[in-house]
Amino acid sequence: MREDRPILLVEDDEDDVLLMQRALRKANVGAPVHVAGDGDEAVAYLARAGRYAERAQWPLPGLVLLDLKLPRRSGLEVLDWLRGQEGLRRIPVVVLTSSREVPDVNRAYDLGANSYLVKPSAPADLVDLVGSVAGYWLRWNEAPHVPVARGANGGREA
Amino acid sequence: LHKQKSTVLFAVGAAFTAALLVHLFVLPPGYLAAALYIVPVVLVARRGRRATAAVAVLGAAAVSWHAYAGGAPVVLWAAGVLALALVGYVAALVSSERRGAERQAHLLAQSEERFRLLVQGVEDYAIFLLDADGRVASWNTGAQRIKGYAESEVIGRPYAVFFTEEDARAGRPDRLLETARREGHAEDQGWRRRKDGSRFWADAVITALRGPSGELRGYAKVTRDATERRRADEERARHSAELEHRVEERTAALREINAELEAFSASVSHDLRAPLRAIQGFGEALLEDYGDQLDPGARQYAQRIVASVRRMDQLTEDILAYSRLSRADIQPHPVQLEHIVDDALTSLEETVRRSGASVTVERPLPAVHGHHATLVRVVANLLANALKFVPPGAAPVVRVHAGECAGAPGPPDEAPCVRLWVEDHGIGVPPEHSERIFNLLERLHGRETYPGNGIGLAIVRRAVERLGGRSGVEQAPSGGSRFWIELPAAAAPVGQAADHAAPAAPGSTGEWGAAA
Repeated sequence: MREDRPILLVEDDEDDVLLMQRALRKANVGAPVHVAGDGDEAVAYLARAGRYAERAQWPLPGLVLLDLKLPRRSGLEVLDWLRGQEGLRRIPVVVLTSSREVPDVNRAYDLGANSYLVKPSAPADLVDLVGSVAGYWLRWNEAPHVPVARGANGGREA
Repeated sequence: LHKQKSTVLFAVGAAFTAALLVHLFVLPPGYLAAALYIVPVVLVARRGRRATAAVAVLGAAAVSWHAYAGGAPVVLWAAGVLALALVGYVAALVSSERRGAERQAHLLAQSEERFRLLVQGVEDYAIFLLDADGRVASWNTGAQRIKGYAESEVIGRPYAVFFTEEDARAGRPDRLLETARREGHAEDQGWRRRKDGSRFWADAVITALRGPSGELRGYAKVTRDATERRRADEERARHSAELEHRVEERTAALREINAELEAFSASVSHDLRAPLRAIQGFGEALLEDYGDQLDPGARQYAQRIVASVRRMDQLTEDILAYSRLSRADIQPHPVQLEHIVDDALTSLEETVRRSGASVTVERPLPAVHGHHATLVRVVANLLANALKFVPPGAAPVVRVHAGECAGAPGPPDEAPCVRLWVEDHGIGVPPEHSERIFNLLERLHGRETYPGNGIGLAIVRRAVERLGGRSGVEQAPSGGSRFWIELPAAAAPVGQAADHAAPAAPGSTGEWGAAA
């Protein structure tokens, strides 16, 4: 697996973060995981704003796992913002949420989500799921080129 | 004319007869003539021909007297009688003509009087005449009642006084007269002014009156007070506007409630399930990662926690699926029941294998109007039921087949209908429960005997209803149940029939059992 590109896990629920980290460990996903606890933080990370200004320390993710229900800025708003950013918009985004509501699903795809997954309840299923997702998006999927220098302009919105 | 003729003949006849009788009996002629003539005189007089009678009587008497006294020749006598008859004839003519004219005049006067009384007496309509300049020329009771003017106050005044000031200024009275002149009559509805200034809604017709040579003589005007009707119309319009407004309000309220419900179910699906998922996740992680460090009692407790929370998670998931069904915008289109049954069986592959069930699908199955994902869920729920409710230890035997819809045939133009059966050899459903098992959260058995949350069949019923169909259950001859769903039939969708025809030849019976 290409382990230079981290996964950005946008998730506000600490329980879910803990279970996700366990599942990633169990699935032997080698990529580093950065956690953004709300939508604003996710935007700041991607835009290299605030404490994420040093890109070398916070490399752009190869995959964003995005929860929808987030404090301050919802997952859909983050997605909308990201897809409006030159270059950054190419980063694959997989929605990982507990909502199966049709409007959420449709809106996410309308805004350019690459995939929409519903969090499984059983930890064993979660291990399966993160294993497949990481394998698909980080290993098999041909990653786009994301120009680093021009991605920084959106941070001012955050 | 006929009457005149008969009068003359009578007069001449009477005179002639009288003269003849005088001559024949040679009696003192004055008395006899008088006596004989009493009868015709009376007769004639009673019929109103007094002048004729008098002439005839006097003439006949005179001629007879002359003839008798003077011994005049017969020729003279005959000439006298003829002259007399002529005089009688002329007299009768004159008399009857005068009477005719009198009679005509009388009838005319009578008719006019009746007509005047009729017009005068009408109270519900103002009926009056205008002269050629539009001034009031006649008046009736209705006009007085409706417009408030007495006849003496209004005769000779221009009829524009009946209009509102705005209408009068705008030239409406003249325009109406002009229309009546041009087209023969003019109709109008609008507010009019009474003498006291109050208004009424008038329904009026003006007819131009023309003489024999076409010259304008004036106008006849008939006006009805339609204020009541107008008010009723307005009231009705107000009512329906109000009703519409209320419907709009309610619709808005319902929309709001619907939006709230949607927000509620969204928050249930997210917020309520998050802690559930955490309990389940950490419970299972605990058992998985530290299970060997727990003593058997602690492990059992942890297992019970996990089992309960799994059940609760399934319950919320199913309830959300049920509520999504009511809200989702499902657009039926032609789908193949074959594909649907296959997909449903695939989703139950594990259950089928574990239970050692034998599932038979009698192919081909027809196409219906439906929604693929929804119907897969429906059929999967029915199959899951058939697989679940078997006597302990028995292997389920399930048969899926299609047929015609039961019951009285609908109207001839109704779309044909397909019934899909899912038949089992299981424990069956007592007939008294065959309806309530479709209710939400309704269960007939304890959880320990047959697990389940009582939502599966509720989803079946709701989903099929949303697709315009029906669902139900009967007892199977084997003692098990025969669940059915009815859906509108569809012609096989183009393209789908072909790509699925390969695995099973048409007419063949596919076996999808434990060995598969």
